[in-house]
Amino acid sequence: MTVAVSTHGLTKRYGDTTALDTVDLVVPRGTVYGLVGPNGAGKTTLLGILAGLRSPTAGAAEVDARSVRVLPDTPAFDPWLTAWEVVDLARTLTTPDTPATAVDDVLEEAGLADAAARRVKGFSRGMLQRLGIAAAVIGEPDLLLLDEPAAALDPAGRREVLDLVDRIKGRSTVVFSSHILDDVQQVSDEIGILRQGELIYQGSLPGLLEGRSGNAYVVMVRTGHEEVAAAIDAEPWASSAVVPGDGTVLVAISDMGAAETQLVGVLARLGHRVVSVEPQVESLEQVFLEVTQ
Amino acid sequence: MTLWRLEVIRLVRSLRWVILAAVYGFFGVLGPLTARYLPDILEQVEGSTAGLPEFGPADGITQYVGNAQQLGILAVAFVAAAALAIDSKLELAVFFRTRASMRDLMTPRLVINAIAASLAFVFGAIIAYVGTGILLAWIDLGPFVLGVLLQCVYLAFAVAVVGLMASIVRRVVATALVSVGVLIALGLLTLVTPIAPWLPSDLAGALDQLIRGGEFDYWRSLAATSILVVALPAVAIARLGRREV
Repeated sequence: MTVAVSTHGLTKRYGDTTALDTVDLVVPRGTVYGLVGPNGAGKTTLLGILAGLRSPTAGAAEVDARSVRVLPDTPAFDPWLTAWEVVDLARTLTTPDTPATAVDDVLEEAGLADAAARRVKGFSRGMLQRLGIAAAVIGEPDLLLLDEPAAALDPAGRREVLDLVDRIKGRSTVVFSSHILDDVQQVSDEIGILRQGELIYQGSLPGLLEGRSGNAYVVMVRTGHEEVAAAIDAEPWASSAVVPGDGTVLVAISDMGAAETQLVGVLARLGHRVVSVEPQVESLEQVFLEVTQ
Repeated sequence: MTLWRLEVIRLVRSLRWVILAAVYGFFGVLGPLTARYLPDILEQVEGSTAGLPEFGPADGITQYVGNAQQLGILAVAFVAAAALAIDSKLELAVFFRTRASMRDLMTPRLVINAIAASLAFVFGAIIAYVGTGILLAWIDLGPFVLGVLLQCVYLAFAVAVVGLMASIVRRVVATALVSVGVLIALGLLTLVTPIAPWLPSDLAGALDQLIRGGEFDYWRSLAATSILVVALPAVAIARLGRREV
C-alpha cells in the first residue's frame, strides 16, 4: 500500500483549546478517505493543515502529492466571473499546460455545461458546489481535500455531489470530511473518526463494522411472529428471541455454530412465510454514536 | 484567464472603475467651475465678495487637487481594499491561496489598482486642465504634467498602504478605513518640518505647488515614496504568506 498522506503526532492548539491532538493519519493512495466526526471535532483544521493553509503546533504532515486542491464547505468565487472563467482560472493557475478544452469537459462532467457562460452570481448552492469540484478536478490533481462537500445541500444536490466524488475515485486520492454518515458510507473506502481532536478509529469501513454485528440474527417473516420467536427461544443455541414490532424477530445467539446449522431448519419446520434471515449489522451511525460518545 | 486579466475584469465588471472615474471626473469639472464662478455665486448670495481672494488659473487645478486628496483617496482606498483584502472571504482565500503564491496573487492586484487610480486621477486632471483653460486661462503644460506624474506616484503609495493594511486586518471596510487613517496621519506628520520633505504626503500637493511656479524640492519625497511603493507590498506579501486562514 502506498501512502498519499500521513501525519505524525499532528497537534493544533488555539490558545487553550486543542483542535487536534497527536493525530496519526494514514491515507492510502487512490482511495476515498472519509473523515467523520461531530461538529468541532477538528476535521476542517486537519484539512487546513494538509492543504498548507494552517500550521501545526506540533507534529508533522507528509503529503506525497504534486498537486493538492481544496474545496471548502461553501465554495465562493468572484461573482462577476462566468463558470467557464472560474474553471479556466483554476486551470491557468494550476496546470497551464492542460488544454482549455478540458474546461468544457469538467463542466460537462459536473453538469454545468449549460451554465458555462453564466456569471457565478445567482448560482444555487448545489451549482456552486459542483463548480467548486469542477475547478478542483481540472488537471486531475493527485490529492483532493473536500470539506463537507454535500453539507447543507438538498437530497438531489447531495446525490449529484456524491456521484461526482464517486467518479473522481481512482483518478485522485480524495480526503472527504463529513458529519453525514450516509454520505461517507456511500463513497468512502477508508474512514477516520475524529472526536474532540483525537483520531479514535482509522481503517476500512467493513473493518469498523466487523465484530460489532454481535451474535444476533434478524428474521423477517410475514406471519406467525410470536410463534417463531417462541420456537427459536426454546432452542438451546438461542439466548433470546423477541418481536420488536417491525415485522422481524430479533434472535440473540449463544452458540453461533449451532445457530448457523439449525436456524433455517427451525423456520422451515414452522412453515411460516420467511422473507429473509440475516445477521444483525450495526449501521455506521450506530457505531459512530457508540465510539464518539 | 490570468491573474492580471482577472484584476482588469474585477474593475470593469464590478464597475469599480466607474466609481474612480466618476469621483475624479466630477472634481475635474467642479474645480475650474468653482474657481471661475464662486465669486459670482457668493456675490449673488451674500451681495459682496469682500475678503475673498481673487481666483487665478492655478486655482482651478488647486480645487481639483484638494478634492481629489480627500474623497478621491477614499474612493481609491475602498476600490483597492476590495481587491487587496484577499482574506476577507475565507472561501475565496482558500481558492486562491491553494493555487498560487502570495506574490503572484498580490502583484497584479497592487499594480492594476495603482494604474486604475492613476488613470482616474489623470482623467480628472485633464478635465480640470481643459476646464481651467476654457474658463480662466491656460496654464503651463510642463509643470502640470510633472505634477500629475508625482501625484500618480503618491497614489501608487496609497495603494501600497492599502496592501499593507490588508495584511494586518482582514475585512474590506476595515482595510480601507485603516488605510485612510494612516494616510491622514502621514499627512499630519508633514507639520513636523524636519521630516516633511521626506514624506510621501509631500507629493500629494505636488501638482498644486508646481503649477504655481513656487520652489518645490520633490526629490527626497519622490525617493522615499518610490522605496515605500516597493517595500510596503513586499512586507504585505510576506505577512500574508504567513497568515493562517
